[in-house]
Amino acid sequence: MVRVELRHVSFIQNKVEILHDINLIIEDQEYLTIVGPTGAGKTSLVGLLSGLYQPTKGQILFDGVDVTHFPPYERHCGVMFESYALFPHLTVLDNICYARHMHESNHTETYAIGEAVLELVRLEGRGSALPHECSGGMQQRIALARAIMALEQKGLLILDEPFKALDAGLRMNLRREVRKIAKSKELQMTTVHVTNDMQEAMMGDRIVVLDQGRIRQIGTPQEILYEPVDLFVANFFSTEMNYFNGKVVEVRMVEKIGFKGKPLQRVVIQTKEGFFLFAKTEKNFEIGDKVTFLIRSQYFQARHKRRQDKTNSIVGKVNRVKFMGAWLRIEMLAPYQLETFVNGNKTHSMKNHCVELSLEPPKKLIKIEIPTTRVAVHNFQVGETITIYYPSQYVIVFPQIPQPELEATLRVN
Amino acid sequence: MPEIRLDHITKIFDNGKVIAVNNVNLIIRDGDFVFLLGPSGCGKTTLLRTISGLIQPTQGRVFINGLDVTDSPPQSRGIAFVFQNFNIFPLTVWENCTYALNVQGYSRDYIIEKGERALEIVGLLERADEYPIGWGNGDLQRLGIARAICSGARILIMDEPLGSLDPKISAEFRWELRNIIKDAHLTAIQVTHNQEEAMAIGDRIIIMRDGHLLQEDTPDELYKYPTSLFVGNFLGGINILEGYVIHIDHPDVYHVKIRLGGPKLIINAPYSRFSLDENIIVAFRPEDVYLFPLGYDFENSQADWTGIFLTDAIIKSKFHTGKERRFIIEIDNGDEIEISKPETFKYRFCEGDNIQIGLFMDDVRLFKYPKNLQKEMDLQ
Repeated sequence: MVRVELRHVSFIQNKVEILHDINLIIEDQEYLTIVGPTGAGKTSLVGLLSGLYQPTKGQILFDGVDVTHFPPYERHCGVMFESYALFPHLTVLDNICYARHMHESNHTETYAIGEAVLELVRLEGRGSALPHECSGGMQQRIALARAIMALEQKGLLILDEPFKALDAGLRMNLRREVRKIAKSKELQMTTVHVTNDMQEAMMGDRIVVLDQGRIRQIGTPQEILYEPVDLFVANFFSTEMNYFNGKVVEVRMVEKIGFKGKPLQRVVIQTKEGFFLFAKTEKNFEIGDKVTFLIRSQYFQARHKRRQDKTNSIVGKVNRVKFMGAWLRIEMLAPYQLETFVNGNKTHSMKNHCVELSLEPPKKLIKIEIPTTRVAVHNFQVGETITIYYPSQYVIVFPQIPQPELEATLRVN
Repeated sequence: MPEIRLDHITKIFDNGKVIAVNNVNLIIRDGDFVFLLGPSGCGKTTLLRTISGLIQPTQGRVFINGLDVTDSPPQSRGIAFVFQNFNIFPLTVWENCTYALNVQGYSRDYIIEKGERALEIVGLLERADEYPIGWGNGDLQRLGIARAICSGARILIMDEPLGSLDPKISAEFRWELRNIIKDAHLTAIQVTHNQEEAMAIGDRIIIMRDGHLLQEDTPDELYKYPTSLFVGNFLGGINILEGYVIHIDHPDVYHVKIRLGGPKLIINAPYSRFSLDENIIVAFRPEDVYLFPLGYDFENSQADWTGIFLTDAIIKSKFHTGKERRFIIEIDNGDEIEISKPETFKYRFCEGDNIQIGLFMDDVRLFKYPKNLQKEMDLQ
């Protein structure tokens, strides 16, 4: 239950600028995730919020009060660490009551609060157990309970990569549970959750994308996914990204509004490989502009048959298929596209497309992922001809990004 | 590319108090890239150490390439290790890579040939004279692998080799890792926390729990036909409904009623032996459930929905994971089901919406009701 504000915060350690001019408001009761690769400055930011570090420049405000130079114990932040850091010789209840015992003489009251917090994290009746007697999931909840106790209903809850060492399946359940507890009516906490995992970041009300000490973007999960500000953010929130460079050949307004509430524009590009691709975007482009289309691998759909509606269809040969559980990953070599209409004219027509396919040299490797459900999968085999297509509103459109930057960021060869 | 065979391996610690590995039989074929998965304490580390010879099994024999190596020391088994924290020496890349061969006193020509080949496979040959100080984790792990290849080992044991890499980097590097292993013609066993990684690049996956080998198969088969609820849930998550058998048609077709007045299903489950009135678990994957608005026109749909089973449901909550949309829905009897749909899913359902869910019976698995359901579903 606190509103946190960072004003022009910079942090320099050993002459290295770790954080640069961070401006950020964490609203009361917000669940905010901070995400970025190793070395982005996430841990330093946590240190600044909890008072372990002092910023080199700038101010930190809790509910309008300048706490920049407050020591950690006056900020009432509860921090939950990756390794839990539980006291092995203390019972569960003593672990979570430890901090309050230090500065409150009424131990009976502290224990009563402790029991109540244990109930919140569904550990009622386990107060007398020792940490090593508890399963990993329970230790997690003890660490959470201790962090909740420490902030005493008024501070900020900070989760510093809490699930990093856990199995993927388990992480999914735990992160939902933690969010539920943080958001519960009894607590209504303001939470900062630091992670390097994109799926985990998606649990936030808003996401802060941090890279090399700078904030790249702040936004809701939808904004980050569909309207990333740059290539870095777009790529960070995707498993695999396909890119197409091309020139705009047609622009038309459509009777629809996009994610940001602005009218959508239908943009057609001719790529350097000769494909004509369509996108719907809220950004404005003109004929002749050079642009880059980014399409995440999982936005494609695939069929054996040619589709009636040939917009956005690309035909190619399956190069590689890999089953990955809920998803099937296909690499497709695409030599050409089905006929399509641009400005009312048919661009090209391939009558005997099987013959053409084997003659044309492949021009583009496209990586797609489709769900492995019965309706989506048609038993794709290597060497088969397939048609893939994508919904045009899911394309991320940027003014043309130079090839070296594309290759460096997307790590394509 | 040697074959590894484990014959009735049991390892007991603390004078019989802890059975770390319990009667495991296993064959790892020539050149396979195998993943060993399981919750912590399942015995995977003990099993790896038994294979490598760091510990002796209490019972059973270890065979490598048909030879009984149970009593052979680790260094004579032809096994190399790759660690999560790299364990790189403060030497140049070349010295790191050829260290083992130098110690063993091989000829200069032999060392150069082996070293160059190993560094070439991992793409570090041009950086052979550099010191790997300040290198990124990905490059350090490349060096770790080159060192393992160079040692002349034909079996590679890797303990979370991608564990210290950022998720994004590790997702890219794992394909490269697979190519390296295949290029070097190695048999590899890898331990990981990341099930997705195992599914993506593994030839086969072994799942262990409480010292037992639960199932060993290709990623496909394991995912589609788990033999236990635990394996199904461990690999990718699974929805469960509790029910009981109300009728049996033929030997394999079961009519199941979901408890608390839930829907009735007819499921073909070959090889299962359930009896009438037996309590069972109905399990299915989050991605195999289809969502439809009320009044959906199945007749004129492009997809073929013949044979789909439908029931009413309410959307309780929804969220993004970046790759999918996930929905938590509630069916008639109050049971909750998690559903995953691609981001491109066309319906914008909201919390509280009444919908229909559909399920093909072939996507449903039946399991015996376990003694302790909570433990069976606990991934720890």
